Amino acid sequence: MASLDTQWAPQSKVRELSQSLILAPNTVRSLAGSLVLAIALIGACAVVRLLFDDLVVTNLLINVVLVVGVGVFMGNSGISSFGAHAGFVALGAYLSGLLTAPASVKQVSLPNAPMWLQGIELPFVWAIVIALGIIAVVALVSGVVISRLPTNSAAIATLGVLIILHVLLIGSEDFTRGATTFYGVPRFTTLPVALMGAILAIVVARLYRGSAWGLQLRSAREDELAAAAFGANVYRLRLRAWILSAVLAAGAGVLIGHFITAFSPKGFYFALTFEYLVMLIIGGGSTVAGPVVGAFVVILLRELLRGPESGFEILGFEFGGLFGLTRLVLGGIMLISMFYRPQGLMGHREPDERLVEGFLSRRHR
Amino acid sequence: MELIIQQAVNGLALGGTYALIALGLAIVFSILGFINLAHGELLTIAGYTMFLLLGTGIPFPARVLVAVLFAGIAAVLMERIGFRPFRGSAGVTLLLTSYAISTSLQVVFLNLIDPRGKSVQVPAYLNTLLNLGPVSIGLKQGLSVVASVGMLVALSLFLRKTRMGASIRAAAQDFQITRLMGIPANRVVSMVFLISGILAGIAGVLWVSQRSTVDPAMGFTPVLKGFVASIVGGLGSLPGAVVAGFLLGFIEIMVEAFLPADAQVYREGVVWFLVILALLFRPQGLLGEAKE
Repeated sequence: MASLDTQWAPQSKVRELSQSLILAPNTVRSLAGSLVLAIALIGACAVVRLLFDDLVVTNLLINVVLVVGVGVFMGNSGISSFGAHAGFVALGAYLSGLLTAPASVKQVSLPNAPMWLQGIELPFVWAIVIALGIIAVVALVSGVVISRLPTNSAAIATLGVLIILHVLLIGSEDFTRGATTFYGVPRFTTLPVALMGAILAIVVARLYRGSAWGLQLRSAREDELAAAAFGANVYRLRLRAWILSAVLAAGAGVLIGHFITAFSPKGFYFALTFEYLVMLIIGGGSTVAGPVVGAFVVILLRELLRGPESGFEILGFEFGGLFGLTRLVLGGIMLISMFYRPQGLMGHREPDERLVEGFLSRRHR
Repeated sequence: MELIIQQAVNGLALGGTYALIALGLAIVFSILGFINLAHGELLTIAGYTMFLLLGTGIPFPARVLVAVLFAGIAAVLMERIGFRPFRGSAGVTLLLTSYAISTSLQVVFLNLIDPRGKSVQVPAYLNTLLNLGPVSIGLKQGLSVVASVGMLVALSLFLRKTRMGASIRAAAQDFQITRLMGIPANRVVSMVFLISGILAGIAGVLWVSQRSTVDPAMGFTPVLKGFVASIVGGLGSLPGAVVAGFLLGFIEIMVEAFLPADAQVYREGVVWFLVILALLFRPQGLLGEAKE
C-alpha cells in the first residue's frame, strides 16, 4: 500500500480524506457511506415534506425500509423475489399488531384467540423484537429451501412462500380474523420513528454490503462457479442474506401495521410485490442508494398521479377517472428504465464510492 | 371410484390448459431465455375476442378460431414492439419487461372494456354430460382434454416434420450457431411467438368456457400455474412443461376434491408446498437436465 501513497500524493483535505477512506476497513467505509446517504435522505425528506404532508413522508420512509430490505437479498444474490417479502411484511404487521393491540379490542375482534394472547399488551419495542425474532425463524425455514435452488426455481419458490403465508394468514381466523379486516392496532409509527427505521435499515444494509459475506455473495451473483471455486459457500451466503432481508422487510411490515392500524391479508399480496419490484428495478438493486432512490421516484409519482387518476378536466372536457393510471405509468417507467439503464438509476456503485473515486482519479488516471 | 374417475377427468381438463400455457412459455424460454409474464394477457385477449364476437352471430367454432388467431397475432406484435428492443439483454431484464407489458395491457383492458367481468356463454350443447358406462363426464371437460392433447400432438409433429420446426429446435439448442448456419433469427422468433400465442389462445378459450366470464386480470392465475409448470418441468424442456402442466392440474383438482372442508382455505398453500418440495428434490426440473 506504500506505493499507493506516493502515487496519490494528497494535495487537498478532500483528497486526503478520500484516500484515507479508500484505504480504511470496509466497516468504516460502509458507515461513512451510510452517513452520506442518511444526510441525503433527511434532506430529500425535508423537500418532500414541503410539497406533501407528514403521512406521505412517513409512507415513503416505510417503503425505503422495505425496498432496502428486499435489495439486501435481490441485489446481492441476483435472485428475484417474486413475493416472499410481501409475505414477511404481512407477518410483521400481524404479529406486532397481535402483541400490542389493547386487550379490550382483542376480546371483541378475536374472541377465539387464547386467553393469554387476548390479555397481552406489549410495548412497541418488545413487540418489534419478538415479531422480528419469529420472522427470522420463518425466514430460516424458507431460506433453507430457497438458498439451495437454482436462480429461476428459487424465484418461483419465493412466490410459493408468499402464497403459503397468505393462505396461512387467511386460514388462522382465530388470530388474524381471516380475510376480514384486522383492526385496533395502536398507532406508533410517526415520521421520526419511520425516519429512524429507514436510517437503521440503510446502515444495516450498507454494513452487510461491505462485509465479507456481502462481497462474496455479490461475487457469486456474477459467477457462481468461480465464487465457489474460491471457497465461497454460496448456499450459506444466500441463506444469511435471505434472513437479514426478511427481517428488514418484516420491520417495514411492523411500521406499516402501526401506521395504517387496520389491514387485511389482501393488502400484502401481488400488488405490493409489484410495487417493491418496480422501486428496486428503477433505483437499481446493486447498491443501497438504489432502493432509496427507487422508493422516492415511485412514491412521488404516485402522489402526483393521484389527482388525474380520480378524474380531471382539460379545456372544459371532463374526464372520468382513468383506472390504473398509476400502474400504467409505473409499468411504462419500468420499461424505459430497463431500456436505458438496466442496472438501475444508481448503477453498481454507491454515490459515496463514486465521490471518493472521483476525487482520487481526477488527475492520475 | 366413480368420483375419482370424474375428478381425474376434471384434473386432466385443467391440467391440459396448464400444459398448453406451460408449453407456450417454455418454447419462448428455450429460445430467448426468459419467461413471458405477459402471456396471460394473450389468454385475456382470446377471451375478449370471444366476448366481442358474441353479438355478431358468427357460429361458435368460427368465433373460437378467430379468438385463437387474434391471440397469435397479438403475441407476434408483442414481440415486435415490446421484446425486440431488448433482444440480447439479460433474462431478468426481459422477464421484468414482460411484467411491465402485462400490467400495462391489464390497464388498457380495464379502461377500454370494463373493470368488471364480462359474461361469455358457450353454446348449451357443450354443457351436456356424456354417459360412459358407470361414469358421466362433461362434454366441455372432455373437449378440453381432446383439444389440449390434439394441440400438443400437432405441435410436436410441426417441430419434427417441417423445416421451420427443425429451425426452431436448432435455435433452442444454440441460437447463435443456428443464426450462423443462415437461419433468419427474426423469422424464427416471430414464429415461436406465433406458436406461443396460438397455444395461449386455445388455453384462453378453454379457460373462458370453463368459467363463462372474462375480466382484465383473468390471465394472471392460469399463467402463474403455467409458469410454475414450466419451471417444475425443467425450464426450456417442452415435454417437461407438458408433463408438469398435467400433473399440476391433476394435483390441484385432487387437493380440492379430497381435502377436508375446514382445510379448504389452505388449498393453494398445499399445492405450492408440493411445488416447492418437487423443486427441492429435482431442482433442475422433472425432465430437465442438470447443468454445470
